[in-house]
Amino acid sequence: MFWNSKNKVENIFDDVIFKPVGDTGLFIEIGQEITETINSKVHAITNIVENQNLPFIEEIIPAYSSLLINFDPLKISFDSLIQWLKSIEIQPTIQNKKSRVVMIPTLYGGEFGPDLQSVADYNNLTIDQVIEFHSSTKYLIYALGFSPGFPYLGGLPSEIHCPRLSDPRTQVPAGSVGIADSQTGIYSMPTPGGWRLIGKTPLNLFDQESSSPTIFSPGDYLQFVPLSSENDYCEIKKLVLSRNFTVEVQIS
Amino acid sequence: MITVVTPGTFTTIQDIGRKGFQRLGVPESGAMDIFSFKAGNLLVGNDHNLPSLEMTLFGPELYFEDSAVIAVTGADLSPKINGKKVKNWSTIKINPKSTLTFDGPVSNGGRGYLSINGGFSSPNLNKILGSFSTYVPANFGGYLGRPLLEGDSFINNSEKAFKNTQQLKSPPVFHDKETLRVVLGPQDDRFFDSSINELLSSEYQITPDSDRIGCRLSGPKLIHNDGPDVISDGNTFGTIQIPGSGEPIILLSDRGTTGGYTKIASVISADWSRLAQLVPGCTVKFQEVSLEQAYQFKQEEENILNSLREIPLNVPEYKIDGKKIEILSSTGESINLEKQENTKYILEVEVNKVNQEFEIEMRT
Repeated sequence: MFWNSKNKVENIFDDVIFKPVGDTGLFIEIGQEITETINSKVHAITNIVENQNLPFIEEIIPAYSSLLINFDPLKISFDSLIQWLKSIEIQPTIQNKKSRVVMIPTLYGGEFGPDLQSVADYNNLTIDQVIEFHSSTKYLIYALGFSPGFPYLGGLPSEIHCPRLSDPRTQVPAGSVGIADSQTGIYSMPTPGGWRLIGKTPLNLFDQESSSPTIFSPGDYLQFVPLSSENDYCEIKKLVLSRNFTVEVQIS
Repeated sequence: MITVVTPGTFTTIQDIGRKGFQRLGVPESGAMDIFSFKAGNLLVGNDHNLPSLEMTLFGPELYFEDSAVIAVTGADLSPKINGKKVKNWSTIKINPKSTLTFDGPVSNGGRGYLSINGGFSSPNLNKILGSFSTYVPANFGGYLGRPLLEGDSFINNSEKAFKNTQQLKSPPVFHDKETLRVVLGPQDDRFFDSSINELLSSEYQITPDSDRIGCRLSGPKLIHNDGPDVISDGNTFGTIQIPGSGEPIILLSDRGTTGGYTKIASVISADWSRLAQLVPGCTVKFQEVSLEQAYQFKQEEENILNSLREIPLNVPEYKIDGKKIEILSSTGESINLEKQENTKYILEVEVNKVNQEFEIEMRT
């Protein structure tokens, strides 16, 4: 339960919709829009449920405006799980949790971002203006998906929106930073892809050998930090490869 | 040592899947037919989650240097040891220098499981994020992140003295025409009623582009009342999503963690085994059931697995420093232990699931 400003008890589950997904899934729809408010509620619920470490919950998948809880139907039923969720005491502090901003060093343009010029041309901007717009925004990580560690980001300035390539690349290298319409993202693994590539980060976004394989979690923010030279990129890459690089995280 | 003489069509190491990392976009993977996978492990006296082989259509040819305790479950891929047919769904003890082959699917179903006492093991097996499952699209987990190849090999940990052979009383039968039971939703309200009726009354055919990610169906097209896309949300095994083409895709082990197509219904977990065994050319129909019915069917399936978990009581198990030993007489017997610096060991004696530990000293 939340205490709102008037100290009236509110339940975080008051306005949500519960639906079954087969006999093993509980779909919790918070809203039907992509907004930061709805998404923060998704992550608040996810964290609360995850922290309880319950044996009947197998997995929680937070998304933009909903979350999916996979449970063991031999241990709990759909109805009992909802009852149980509604009974959890939610600490008011969770709602005002400080956010983490993960800084992503990025080398823009050249062979690292072969489509930077086309994004500038499409929006009648200079390359430097595109970099300025792209790197001055804090992007909310709504969810991770598509491939392991791939962040779904919100908040790309409308000045640098740009359609996908009409002819997708067969292989996009890991670390590539791209734009697709109103979205921006980072390819966490080499995959085919049609996003316009404007830069590349030397960071490793997904390390399957580590028990915490990603450098950010859903609900965190990330910000791109322009690198000034290929030399800087290579220096960081070396540290990353030898596992000596510490990712900068700002708390705000 | 177990050597892969020929690898078969598509043979991978799997377990029950990678749990707890879907929120970071890491697919669950794992055995497609979890029931058959678990039953195989239980038949060879393992915990239900030890790494086993998932074999697709044509299994591998394996050479066993030493004796082994194995079980073959799932679809009948016609297993033979030294050319002689052996039974599916039972514990098989094989002699040293034996060859296991598979003639290929003799009836319906396309995925077989090979389990071995002690689990498949090799320095080339990678446990990634808590699971040995192979996720081929990203080349991680399992045997070097890939399907088996000729010349791969495994360490055989089978207990020489294994006695508890079992057989599954009434193993599942797979058909080329299956009816899978479903619970509607979560986005069934995004379809015209006529399309819901169509889903629950039509026969769909499995198409050849089906794989471990999804089972693709062809048949009557289902019409959305407000377009095929939703805001991307979480996916589960067995979820039936309907893209713009109107033809269903049922999501399986290697599915993406989230997806943006409308989900009309989900196959209940008691029917996941039969879903996983569908191969191109099979047909499927869907039948709506309530959640209460689904729970009951799930419990019935679990009871079958539990029947394999009932190990005979009053058989004591002796372990020295975690290594199982066999006691031949009340005065004990000689055992081989690797030379250690001190001579003190922990002797564990388990009787009726109660563990007792003794510190003992070995003198030669």
